[in-house]
Amino acid sequence: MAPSASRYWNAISERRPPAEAERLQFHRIQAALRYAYARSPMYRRLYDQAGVHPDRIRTLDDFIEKVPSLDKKDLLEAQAQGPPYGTALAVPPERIAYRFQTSGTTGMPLLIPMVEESTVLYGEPWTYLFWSVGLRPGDTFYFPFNWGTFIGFWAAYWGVRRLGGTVISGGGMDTRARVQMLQQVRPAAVVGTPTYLLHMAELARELKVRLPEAGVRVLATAGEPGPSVPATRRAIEESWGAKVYELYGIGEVGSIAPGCSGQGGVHLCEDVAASLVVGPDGRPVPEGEVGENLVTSFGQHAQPLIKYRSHDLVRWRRGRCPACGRTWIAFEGGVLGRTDHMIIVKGTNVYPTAVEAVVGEVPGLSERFEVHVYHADGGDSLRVRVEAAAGVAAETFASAGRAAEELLRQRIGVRIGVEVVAPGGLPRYELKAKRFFDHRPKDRQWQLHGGPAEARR
Amino acid sequence: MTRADVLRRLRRIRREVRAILAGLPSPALAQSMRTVDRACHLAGWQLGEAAGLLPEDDGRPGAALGGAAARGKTPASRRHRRGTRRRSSA
Repeated sequence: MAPSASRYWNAISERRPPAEAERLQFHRIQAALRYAYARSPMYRRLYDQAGVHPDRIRTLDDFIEKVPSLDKKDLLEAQAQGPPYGTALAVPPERIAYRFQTSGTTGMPLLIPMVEESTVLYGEPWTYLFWSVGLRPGDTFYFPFNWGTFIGFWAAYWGVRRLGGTVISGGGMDTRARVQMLQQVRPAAVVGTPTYLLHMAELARELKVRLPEAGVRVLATAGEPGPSVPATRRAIEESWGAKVYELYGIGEVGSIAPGCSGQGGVHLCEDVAASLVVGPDGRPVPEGEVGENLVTSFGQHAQPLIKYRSHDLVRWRRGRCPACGRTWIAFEGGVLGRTDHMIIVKGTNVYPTAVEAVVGEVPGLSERFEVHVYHADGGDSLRVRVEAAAGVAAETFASAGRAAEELLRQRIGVRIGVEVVAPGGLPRYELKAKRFFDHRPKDRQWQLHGGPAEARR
Repeated sequence: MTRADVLRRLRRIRREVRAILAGLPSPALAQSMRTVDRACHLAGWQLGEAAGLLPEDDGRPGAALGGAAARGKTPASRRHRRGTRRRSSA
């Protein structure tokens, strides 16, 4: 069989029997531990302080119980000790091929150094995604993206290079020019955040451009949830006339989980990372339950990440996926929320993605929303601002808001106030949308997502 | 061609590449050879050969784990077969 006829990009990996996959994952974890301990002063100090040596991590239970976790603040501290990369660095500076950084919206930006090999492994999960949804060498990929310091779509670019596709850059132009360019280039695929693809669709409507006529088959997204939320997926697919798939990535860790072709979630690409899904006590949660994803990267060589706290909440399952046939761990529904975005309202856990799923179903409302969190009278409260759909009369805003409040109460079990604003009333973003606004006192925010005693698992 | 055949050939290619690298006067050719070595290392990784994370680590003590991992004779796997391993996602 010709490689192009294969259903899988790498069936050996994607369909590896689960028991064999778990053995291999553990050996790769051991290799990562040895690598980090030998090369990174930060890891050597961390493990020495914890009384851990890689050679003594002989079982997965050893790894779970003895190896300390790492958080973003540890990397920031390490970088601050010797800028630019400090003690976290595990390669000679001359091995660094690229440097990226996080947005720094919650503080100092974290620098992300990359060696050449890492660019391939950051790109590979994108290639797995592209191949699984029918994209092939020779297909064209449009990047409405300014090639800045956000690593996510650089990784997608590396993935297209691995696939053998054609990259068409939409850098250095505004959204209007990009919409117009789409009609000329007629790409097979467009890569962007769900937020930005919706923004492009909105502008196309204003320009009287029919996006489905551009012939795009696949929309590949990253950076925020979206395609796994049915209402958002429907809004994107209807406006573009194309199927939308997501990839779950973490800038400093890598692109780790391409979407399932069945659109029900993502699969951890076990060539590039291992995951441990844990509860608030740091212990693994049973299959099917929600926990925080602690990631060990096999693809970030310059600044290794082992048992790294992603703060992403996922529901994991192992076994052959009925939709795509992969045996890689599945995260059903993609990323379900963030540990630092979880709000407890009258004893009920509430996540912004749950809000997104509800507001998108209410007639007259768009999928654009903001969640505002307040703290008063000893408890947290929520208020949702959501934008009305285009063309909806202002006199219906109040009734749409009441309908959303009722649906939220039914689905989530708590009363949440909803304010409906006019179309265009919420900001637009080229990359990730800011949807979570925490107005609680800082000490209250910290307490909710793990105080000092919980910070190191 | 079996997985073992492919791995054996990849190892042979890498030995040849390293021998060529040692005698090359041209930076351009040396870079091309390093690219070949990286590609072979990645292919081995994709085939499930648990080796060093970077190509240059493959020769380091403790990095090449392929034999034991491939045969499944490891403490973790023995515990798995006994059914004593805790359920987890890693």
